[in-house]
Amino acid sequence: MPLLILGIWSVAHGWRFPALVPGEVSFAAWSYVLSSASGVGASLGLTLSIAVATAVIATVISYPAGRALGRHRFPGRFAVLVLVLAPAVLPALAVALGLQGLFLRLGLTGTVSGVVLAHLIPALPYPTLVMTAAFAAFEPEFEHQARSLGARPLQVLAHVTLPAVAPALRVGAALAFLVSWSQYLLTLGIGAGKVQTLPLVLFTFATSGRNDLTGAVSLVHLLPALLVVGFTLALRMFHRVGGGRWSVPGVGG
Amino acid sequence: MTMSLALLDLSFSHPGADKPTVAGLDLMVKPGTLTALLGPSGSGKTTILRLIAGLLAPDRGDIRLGNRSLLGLPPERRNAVLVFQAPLLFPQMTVAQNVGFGLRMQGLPKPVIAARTGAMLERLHLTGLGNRTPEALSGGQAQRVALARALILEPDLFMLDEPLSSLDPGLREDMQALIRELQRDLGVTTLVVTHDQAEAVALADSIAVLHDGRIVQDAAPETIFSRPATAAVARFFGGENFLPGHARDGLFHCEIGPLPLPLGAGDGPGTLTVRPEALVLGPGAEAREAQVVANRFLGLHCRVELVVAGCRLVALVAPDLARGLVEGQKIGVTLPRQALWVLPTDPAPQTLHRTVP
Repeated sequence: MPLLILGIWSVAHGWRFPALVPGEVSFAAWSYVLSSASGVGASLGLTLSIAVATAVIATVISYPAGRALGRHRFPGRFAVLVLVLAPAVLPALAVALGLQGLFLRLGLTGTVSGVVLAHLIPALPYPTLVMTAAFAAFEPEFEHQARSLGARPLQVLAHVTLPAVAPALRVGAALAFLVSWSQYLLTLGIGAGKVQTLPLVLFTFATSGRNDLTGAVSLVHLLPALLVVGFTLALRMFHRVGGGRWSVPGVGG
Repeated sequence: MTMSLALLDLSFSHPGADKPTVAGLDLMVKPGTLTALLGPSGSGKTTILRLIAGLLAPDRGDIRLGNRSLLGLPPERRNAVLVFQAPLLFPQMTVAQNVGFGLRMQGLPKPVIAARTGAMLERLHLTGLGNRTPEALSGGQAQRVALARALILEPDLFMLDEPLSSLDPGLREDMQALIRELQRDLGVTTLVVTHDQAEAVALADSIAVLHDGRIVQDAAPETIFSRPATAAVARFFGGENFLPGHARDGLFHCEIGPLPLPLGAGDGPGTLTVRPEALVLGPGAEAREAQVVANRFLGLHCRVELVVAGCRLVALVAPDLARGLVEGQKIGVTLPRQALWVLPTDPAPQTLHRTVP
């Protein structure tokens, strides 16, 4: 329903209160948004790059973190889990304000890499938690068996461990991508107006009162996110058909 | 080429454990033979296999396969393949891909892998199952795939960790026969870990009995039954009759009177043991008078409890021979000379620990 309204907004011209349907259909907003003058195209590219970078880095970090947390019981494990989760719980505004001071000193404010670093803070907990669960369910004896059958450590990674945790890696990456994709406050605070991602552009249009532009940009903003979610779900469905269990009930001794 | 396995003074402690899991273990497996490492749960059997496979590093001692030491070699370069208790088939691969896994890791050409995989599947009666996923297999089939996946590598040493414990009893005997047949045909030096003495007897050329991280006896199954090294070994294999006494001048003096001393036994204190199934009931030249205390039918045989001169003895006899024996009845019992065996008295060897330097 909200999608539909956004869609109607984006093509409506002179749609005022009592009217149930827009008086006139116009693609003016779309042609503006899709033109290079609006900067929406460039912003889309920038937002995608930041979100992909955040997703890749977060997923790479989440692999060893999830492996350690999921496989081993060590003193302080709970404390580490709480620390991992904390950024997802803390208000983004507090994080943004705290980071701004630090990043200013490091010269990271207003840079794309600064924004990616800032996005990692709320993005990391999701893939880390997913990977923790994946490694907790993955029987480590599969790796030992592969070694004993003559696989070198890198071969074990490529042929056994990565296939086993691949679904979790994809879900974790998708979640990190989405967190970065919809990030507003951190981008505003750290990007200092120089890094104009789609949520920032969208907010500018929304506050300017141009419903048609807001609707069009919102749809542009929505589409990649929907694609990522759809793609991840499709892969999961596919995987369930050919996949199997990597856990072994009652192994021990 | 078949190789011998030698474990020399092997020791290992799990971090934080107060007692070593493996303490100065010596074990020899002759080329092309099957040794069963037998011990109760928690006796460190699996740890020993992991040490040999290279998944754990010993604190002390050496592991030799043929004329080379395996110490310091990573698991994948030992050519000593371990098959775990659970089949651990890789779920994203087909049966054939699982069996060919090790050869793929070696980078062999595809046609070679396909040919050897096909031959191995046939050998383990898995023909036609190559394209199945592991999930679609029965427990016995999965176990056979796990065996095929290991044996296709033609290992110098083949190790099995409780391979049959997850199978149903009927299936277990079929698998025992299959493992025995494959091991003989391939002539692969094999070490099987088990806690089941019947399984060890059925499978092994030699049984190594593990107690407190050390081997108490390593001998052919018949020898372990007839000439156990300690009372604990005798009990583990169903021994029930133990008579403490003293050997002197060719006779063993105990409560039921002097008995002929078995060959090879020296003078001194000891415990005489005789297997329950070796006792002969009924009149005889050397029969002693016994009183029946209990008679219980166990299927293949009857378990007859007797008291002879104040000593309790247990006899396992064919049901036909025990029919009609009732509590309180007097009967003759013979302890055949060739069935007698003298164990050293305490301290029993298994309680002696090697002093750690």
